[in-house]
Amino acid sequence: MSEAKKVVDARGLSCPGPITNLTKAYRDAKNGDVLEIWATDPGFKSDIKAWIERTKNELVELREEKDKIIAIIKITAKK
Amino acid sequence: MINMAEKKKFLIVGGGAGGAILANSLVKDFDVTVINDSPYHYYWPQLLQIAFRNDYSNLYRSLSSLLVKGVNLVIDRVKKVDLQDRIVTLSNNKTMNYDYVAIAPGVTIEHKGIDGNEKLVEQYGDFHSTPQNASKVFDVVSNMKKGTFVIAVGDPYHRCPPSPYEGILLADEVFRLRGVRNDINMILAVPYPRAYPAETFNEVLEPILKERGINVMTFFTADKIDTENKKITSLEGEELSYDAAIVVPVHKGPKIEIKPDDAINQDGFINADKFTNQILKYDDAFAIGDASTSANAKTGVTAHLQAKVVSKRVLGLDARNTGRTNCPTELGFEKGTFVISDYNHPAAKVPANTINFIMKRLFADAYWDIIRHPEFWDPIFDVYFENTQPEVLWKLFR
Ligand SMILES: Cc1cc2nc3c(=O)[nH]c(=O)nc-3n(C[C@H](O)[C@H](O)[C@H](O)COP(=O)(O)OP(=O)(O)OC[C@H]3O[C@@H](n4cnc5c(N)ncnc54)[C@H](O)[C@@H]3O)c2cc1C
Repeated sequence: MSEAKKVVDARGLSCPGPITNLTKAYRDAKNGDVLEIWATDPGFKSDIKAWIERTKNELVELREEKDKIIAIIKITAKK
Repeated sequence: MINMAEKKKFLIVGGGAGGAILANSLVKDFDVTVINDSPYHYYWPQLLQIAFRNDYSNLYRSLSSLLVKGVNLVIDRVKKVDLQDRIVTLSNNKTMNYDYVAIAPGVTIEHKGIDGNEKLVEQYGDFHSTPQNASKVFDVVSNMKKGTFVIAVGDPYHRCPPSPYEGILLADEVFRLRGVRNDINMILAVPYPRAYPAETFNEVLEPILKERGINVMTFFTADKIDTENKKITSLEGEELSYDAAIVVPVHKGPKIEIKPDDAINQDGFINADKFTNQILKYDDAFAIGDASTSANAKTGVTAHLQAKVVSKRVLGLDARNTGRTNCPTELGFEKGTFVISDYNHPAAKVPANTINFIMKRLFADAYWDIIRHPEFWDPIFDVYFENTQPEVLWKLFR
């Protein structure tokens, strides 16, 4: 199967929302896949950085738009 | 009799916490039939009491004893619900039609969703599946003398968000009472960035876990279990060794075929509106409780409140879910707290105390009466929910 890009829409969910949704998508992902997570929970920015540090995947981009925070993650560290 | 014929037919799939309350709330105005795959109604929170106290008292009652006179009960398994043609098919292929349907069959526990968990649960049990598995846990905690005891979350969408925390704290209580706590290393492993996912409630819970000497591993989602070498590997790539372990299993939607296909999500949960519980565009079909995506937390209270919303909506009222949670959390040594939040407010910092523990116990003892007598309990709950709104609690507990 080829590498996939998937959007994980976790807007409107505060904790445990975004990281929980990411975990779920991570279970199905494989190395090379790109996950784009949308969230509105302000705590998401620090949580996603901590997640990246622990899992050693690659944070391609983390930006804030008017109505959402977007994190783009490349899966590189899945065993 | 004539009156009966005029009443619209309301079918309810599943007579658990959500389905039974809905049936009893509707019977005045509808011709209600509950279809349940067993003659019993289980009170699932009791699994914790079995696992850590060997207490079976509130586990189940016969469903017929909980339903108000006039509610029809069919004991059979529903195989299929066709929302387009309004047909419910039972296990023997008998069909039933309806004017309204509410689908409330709860979750399916899938141990095989985590590699090795089937084997692990045979050895050490768990407290999210069956009374038999819960009783295995009791054997483990009453006999373990030393080593590492682990509770790890394999699926963050499990029933009752605080249950793994209750599990580890009640295990701690057992070990302390048995005088073996000093020789047992206790670890709670969770997928979240902190002990409890909701940051605000974490401020209440984390100090308690610390005080009780429970080690918390964050960002650890149990993914594979090597029962031979007694190791759990996380999705995030870390390893954890155990002497005894319980992994909170994967939860899936009900094993019922629902038509059209887009009425269910990839895990089999029924796609329902988070405010109204309506399924897709079908204004005669609702999903409530653990089986539905509208339940932001898989708790009996959510199922209960959703049942109330549906019972009002079908009478033409514009009732809506607020996303209110009200999870009583037992902390051991006769202390408790509550996780209380809604769609617009994060969980309030409800302090741990004995009153909250007593509230939890009283609620468990009143459970059967609450289901059987909505006419008595509804006004009490209205007052309770009104006065304990997260908004109110946020002002009380800063
Ligand atoms: C350890 C633990 C602790 C908990 N603690 C709490 C707590 O403190 N407070 C709280 O509010 N909640 C708690 N809960 C959660 C609570 O038990 C559930 O959220 C609640 O039971 C959900 O109700 P329900 O009606 O959606 O599903 P259920 O109560 O599971 O009922 C579903 C019913 O549908 C039937 N059924 C299933 N499939 C079919 C079919 N195909 N055909 C016909 N019938 C079918 C089943 O037999 C069952 O009777 C806890 C759960 C656990 C496991």
